[in-house]
Amino acid sequence: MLRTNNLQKVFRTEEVETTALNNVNIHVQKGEFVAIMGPSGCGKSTLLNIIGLLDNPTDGELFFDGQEIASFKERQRTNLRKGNIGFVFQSFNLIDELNVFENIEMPLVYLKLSAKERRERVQKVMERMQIAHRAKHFPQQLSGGQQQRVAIARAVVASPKLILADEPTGNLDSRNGAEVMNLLRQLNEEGTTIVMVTHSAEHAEYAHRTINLFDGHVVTEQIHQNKSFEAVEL
Amino acid sequence: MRQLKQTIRGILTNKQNALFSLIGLSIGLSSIIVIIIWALTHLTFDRFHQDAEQIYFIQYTDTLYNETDFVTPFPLAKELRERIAGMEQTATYTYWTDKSRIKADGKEFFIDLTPTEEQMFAILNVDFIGMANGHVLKPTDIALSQSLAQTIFGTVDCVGKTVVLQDSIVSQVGAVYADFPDNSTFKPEALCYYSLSADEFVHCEGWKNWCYVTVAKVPEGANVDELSVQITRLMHDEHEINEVFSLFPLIDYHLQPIGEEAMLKHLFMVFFSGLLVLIVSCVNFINLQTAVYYKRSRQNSIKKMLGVSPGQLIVEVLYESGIYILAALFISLFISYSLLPVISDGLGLNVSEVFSNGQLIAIHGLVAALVFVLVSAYMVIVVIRTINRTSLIAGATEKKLHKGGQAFVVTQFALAIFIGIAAFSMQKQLSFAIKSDKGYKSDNLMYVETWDYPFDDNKAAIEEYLSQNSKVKAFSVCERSFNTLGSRTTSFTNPEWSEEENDFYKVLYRCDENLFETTQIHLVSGRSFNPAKYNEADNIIINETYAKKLGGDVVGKTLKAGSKDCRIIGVCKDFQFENFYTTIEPLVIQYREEWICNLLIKTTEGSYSQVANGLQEFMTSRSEAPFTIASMEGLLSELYEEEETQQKLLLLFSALTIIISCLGLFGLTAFIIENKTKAIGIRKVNGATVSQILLMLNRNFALYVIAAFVIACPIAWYAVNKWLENFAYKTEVSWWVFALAGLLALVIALATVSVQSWKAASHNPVEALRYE
Repeated sequence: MLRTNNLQKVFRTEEVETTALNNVNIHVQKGEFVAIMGPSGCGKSTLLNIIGLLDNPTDGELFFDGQEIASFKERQRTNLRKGNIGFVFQSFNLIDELNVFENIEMPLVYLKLSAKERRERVQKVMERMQIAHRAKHFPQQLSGGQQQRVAIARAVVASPKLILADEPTGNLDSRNGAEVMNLLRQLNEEGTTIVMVTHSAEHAEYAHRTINLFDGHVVTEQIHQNKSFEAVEL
Repeated sequence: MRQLKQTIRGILTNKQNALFSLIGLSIGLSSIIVIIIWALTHLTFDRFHQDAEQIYFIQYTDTLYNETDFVTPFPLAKELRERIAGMEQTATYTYWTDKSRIKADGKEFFIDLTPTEEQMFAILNVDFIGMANGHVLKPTDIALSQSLAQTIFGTVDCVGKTVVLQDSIVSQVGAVYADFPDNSTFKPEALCYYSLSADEFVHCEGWKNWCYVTVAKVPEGANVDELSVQITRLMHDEHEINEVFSLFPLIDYHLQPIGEEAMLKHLFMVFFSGLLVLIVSCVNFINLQTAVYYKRSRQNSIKKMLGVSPGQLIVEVLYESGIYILAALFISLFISYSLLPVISDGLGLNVSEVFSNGQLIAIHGLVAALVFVLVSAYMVIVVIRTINRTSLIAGATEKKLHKGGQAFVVTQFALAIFIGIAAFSMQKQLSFAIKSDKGYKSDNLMYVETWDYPFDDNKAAIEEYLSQNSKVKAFSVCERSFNTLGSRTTSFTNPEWSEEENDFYKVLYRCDENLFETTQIHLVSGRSFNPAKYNEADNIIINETYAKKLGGDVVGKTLKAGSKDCRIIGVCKDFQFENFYTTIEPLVIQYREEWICNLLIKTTEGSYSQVANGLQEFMTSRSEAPFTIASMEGLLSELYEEEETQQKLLLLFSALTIIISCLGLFGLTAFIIENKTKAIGIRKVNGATVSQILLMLNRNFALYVIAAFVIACPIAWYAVNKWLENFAYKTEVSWWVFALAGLLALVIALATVSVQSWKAASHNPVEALRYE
């Protein structure tokens, strides 16, 4: 589903040049749940952004469903992202002026679905995330856990093949964190591929395997034995 | 000092905003200051005379038509001096002087010599710098202005020298006086008494002829109304003159010349538009500063937590506004000083002669102080209103353009659109006035005015010269050009009508037989003059307006002119001979060969200047005397000179308003987009394209401009219609003028906004979301 080949990302400012990613080669199978771990600044989020087509690699190749996409133009990347990739952020990134319903509906608007279809799909996903009773509320009126459920709802509403989660539990207490992880696992069990960046070893346990990054390199990979994902290969 | 340093540092953190605020404010200040200088220059006219407010023109209003004028009979001044207490200082002078030929030192010049009476020197300030025989100008002397003395003698030291006027009047230079200042209505080049030569200077004596101007200086505190009644009664009782006399203040003359279109209206309109620019720039400043203030709300919350008092916050805001206005003051001082030559040029007088440096700086300071009070008052209100709202949490979340900001943007654009529509409409009317069908063809038409040129002596030669010039299509010896046609008369009456029915003015114009061919005025019926075939002495041609009044079919009819019977031999199409403010009046064209000495010449296409140059050379070779050659179209556009400056000023103000509004818009968009960066990032992550983001950001601004348009349209519609009502012949108010102004504003506003929204929309969303 997803494969990188010698991926490299260099940030340049006037004075310094920072290599965020250096020859990163990873492979994510369809239906897999992969956790990426590592200390702050090791390049986890950069990798996630590149995989999510939000950022361009400086060098190397990126294959999505067998297609090389590292050299895609902005418009092509937007089109590929739409409906294929959903994002969940640590800070939720909901739009304050939009209510719960409208926040979740947004990707569907950009997919140009009809109002009726949008309503049905948002309704369904809200019920699933147990936030339907909050549909008319604005983000500031919700608890952190509820906000993250809205964010996940928004990520999955367009039924993407891949969900990218950047420390989705980072701003949540343990109870809410566990709730979010259960939701992600459920989604994965239903067939969605998930790549998640996390600091929490406990939450990494939810994944099939963990990739450890350090200083822009993949240092170790660890397959969680208790998980039953077949055909894991590098 | 610490406060000052921190304030300046605070201003510099938002460099772009600081720059825009300053530019906007400086433009506003400079425009209004330049206009104030300009207006004050007009208002100070004639005030330099000692006791200026006691000096009056004698004017009359005729009881029949209610028309007011200030020409008076020659003996009036003397009569008033002798008969009415309080009018001892009254003098006659010739307002419209003829060019006088003067010979001195073996050279010959043509000068404007103003004959007057000796009382004149007690009324107006004449500043003598050189004078013979103590302090009196002898009856046979003439007085020269400093610059004329320089021209004639090369020195002001010329008292006692002999000059010869009009070849026969021998006189001596009795005095030299300093040139009158530029803001003086009375600016004679040379002065003399009527007694120097009554034959030469008193053309129309007696009580029946009205062609002089009478000025008077009344004692302090004199009852002017009472004096007016006395004059009216005296004239009625003893001279059978039934007009109503009154005194018109000299200091009002420049702004409201008697019987002429008032300057005051023009002044007011220009001042008003300048004021609008200032308002817009203040609004712009307030708007940008409010945005900065809101942006700092987090900083202010921290300050509040650390114990700042509301008073200190207010002081900070006052400091900041103060610094801006001080900077703008310096910039506008620089701008107005560099513009002074331009203003002086436009006014036709030297502004620095009217105002001292101290006065100019005082004007700047006063305006700046006023702006400071207005602007800081608003900022203080903003601080007070938000002072209790600033908490650390609410701090960072001032998302939308605040309500006041929206209203300001709409106001700015409404004003810009309003001024724009006014300027475009004016342009349309002016080009209509100049280009439209006037009933004659003004293209390639040349008007030669001969003044003192010995035309009669050279008439045959000039006519021969013109007939032989292949570039001249036709020419006519005639009375005046068509921008101001002839005198009015109540003569040429219909013998079948009663005296009352006949009592209206007709314009009288005299010319030779070639007028109609030269100007391409069509005859509706009858024939043109043909002196070769008929005796045309008592034949006339009238225009359609008069023909209609007389009942239509009038060719062959006779009209009475005094004791003469004049036969109507033709009716010509109506043509414009005044500006478009007035409707066409009844016109009588009389055939005349003598005593008319001006020329209308029609040249072939593209050979105007060639003919003009040739004629200039030819006429100069025959006599040195002055004459002028002017193009008809030039003369016509001079009729609307005032409107043209007005229109140009309006266009300039409209442009300035739009520029300032755009500065404000640019600054505001920056803040809005800064606030929206995150939202833009999120939307892009969720699949929004650049164009969708652009649409989202620009939609609101388009709505502001549309709202501004909706507000501006009815006001502009009303104003433009009101203005057009002044014209007897006018264009329609067109929808496209409105559409054009609105569209321009929209395009300019969207372009301004798009520069930034494009940057924001095409930005990598990762950067927007990275530091959370």
